[in-house]
Amino acid sequence: MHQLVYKRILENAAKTPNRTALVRPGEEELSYGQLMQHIAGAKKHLFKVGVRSSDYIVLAASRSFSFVYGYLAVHALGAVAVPLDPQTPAERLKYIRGVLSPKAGFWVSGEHGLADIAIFDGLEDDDLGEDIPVDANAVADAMFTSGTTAQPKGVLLTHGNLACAVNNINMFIGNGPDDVEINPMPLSHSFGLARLRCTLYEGATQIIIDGVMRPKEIFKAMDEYKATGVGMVAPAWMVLKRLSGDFISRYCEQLRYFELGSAPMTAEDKAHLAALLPKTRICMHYGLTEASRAAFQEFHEPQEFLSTVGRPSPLVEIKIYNESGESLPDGETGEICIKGGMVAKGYLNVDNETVFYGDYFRTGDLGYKRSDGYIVLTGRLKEMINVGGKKVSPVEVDQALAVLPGVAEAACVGVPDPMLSEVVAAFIVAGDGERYTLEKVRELLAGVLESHQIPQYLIYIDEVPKTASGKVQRLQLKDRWSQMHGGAK
Amino acid sequence: MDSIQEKLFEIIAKSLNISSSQVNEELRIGSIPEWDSLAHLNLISEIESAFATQLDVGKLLYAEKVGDLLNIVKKG
Repeated sequence: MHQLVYKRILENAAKTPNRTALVRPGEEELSYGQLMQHIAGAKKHLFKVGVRSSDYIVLAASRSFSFVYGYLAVHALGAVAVPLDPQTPAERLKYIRGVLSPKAGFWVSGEHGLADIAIFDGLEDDDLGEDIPVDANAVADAMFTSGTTAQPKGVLLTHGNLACAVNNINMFIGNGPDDVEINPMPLSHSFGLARLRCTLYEGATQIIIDGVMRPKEIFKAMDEYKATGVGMVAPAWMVLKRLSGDFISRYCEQLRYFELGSAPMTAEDKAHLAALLPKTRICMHYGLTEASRAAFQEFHEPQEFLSTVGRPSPLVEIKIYNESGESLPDGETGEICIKGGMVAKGYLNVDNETVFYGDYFRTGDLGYKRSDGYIVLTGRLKEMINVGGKKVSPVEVDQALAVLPGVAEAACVGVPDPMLSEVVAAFIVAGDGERYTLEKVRELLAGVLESHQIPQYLIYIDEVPKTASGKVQRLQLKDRWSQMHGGAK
Repeated sequence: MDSIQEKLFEIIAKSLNISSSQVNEELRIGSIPEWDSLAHLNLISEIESAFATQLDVGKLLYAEKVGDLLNIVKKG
């Protein structure tokens, strides 16, 4: 059994209190000793306001130190952290609050303190005990991700899941306490949050950067803090490459590792990055919030493997199943299913029977296993759209469009995008009134949907294709978009 | 405000779906919620298309605020 993540971080803090844990370049730094003090303070405060074991605590997962110690304090109390993007639209937040009945929410924006606390429920006042026992099977995080339904689904990850994932990742990449990692990813997203856990688990230093849009900040931090590693989702690398070209190759002697994930990359793009960083261990994973880093590959492997998503991570098993739930032999295409200690126990308020085949989590992705153990991804069983590593439920966007005046019906699909893997294309059947331009639709949906959910293409059609039972035939819409060579952007 | 600046500010406001009064030379790239990496990529494409130019990667690398984008567009 692995050590729980928050416990290991506190242990690191006790061992090396003067080592730097977190940095926000040009703003502030936090040592492990200070981090430990802040966690203890936040824990005491949370307890005082009545937070107890198994309570859901909504946290605005900004790129701030206060989020980090608030998050770890929630874990140390045995409560459940619900990290959300601070820009979560009001409707989505209302839905999440409705299903969780969270006890408290911490919305911290800008200030690095636990100042903005909203208490959602009647709270008790009590004294904090010495040490609150936290079980590995207890839920640590409820991560809200878009599902195939209109509403987001809460993925329940236990302390054991988090510990297992951290160990799998660090074992493959080879992270150590002397690493200094640049993390430009949002901490509300499972990739960025996992990078934070992996770094702090090793007692290493994490440099938190506000995204990849100002590349100078990333490279300046690489120089100033002598970064040895960097982690970002594949589309973020494509954005950074668009803005900085091959500049990263200047760090080829310095960067020991580079972790990528969350969305596919072409074999050519992988080979290009490998050529820019010939000595860096470039690790890309295949996984989901529900089954973190299920498979890994390293870009300096022979070229023929770059078209795969790699082999199962250490201590992870991957099988391919057909629609009847039977395991398929190598080479046959079916649903990719994953078994391992990092696989979520299921979703909140969902019948989890259908989510698994035995112990194997059903990913909804289609693929096959080669005889050498490498997994090849061929498509998607579920209709989810992957925009830059963030999952979008087409149904959620359909419904947001359908309530606009002048829209009779809408159906969305994911269409290929060279940078973001996919973007949303909306097919609309006109109702009464004027037709919208794409700009107008984007304007109307801003604030209703998150930015990655907002359509990039708009196409008017006469009717939405459906099966006899009324199910939207999204594949037909995808084919139609392909035939249109780009649609009406 | 010269015509290039006016045109650029208009493109930024429209592309990010924000009020033109929010756009000024000191506005930092990515400093408002509407300006995420997806929006930034769209904006770069729209600027390139509107000014019929390709923005120099060597200069985009150092761009931190709207004023920097304006300089890139003006000086090429």
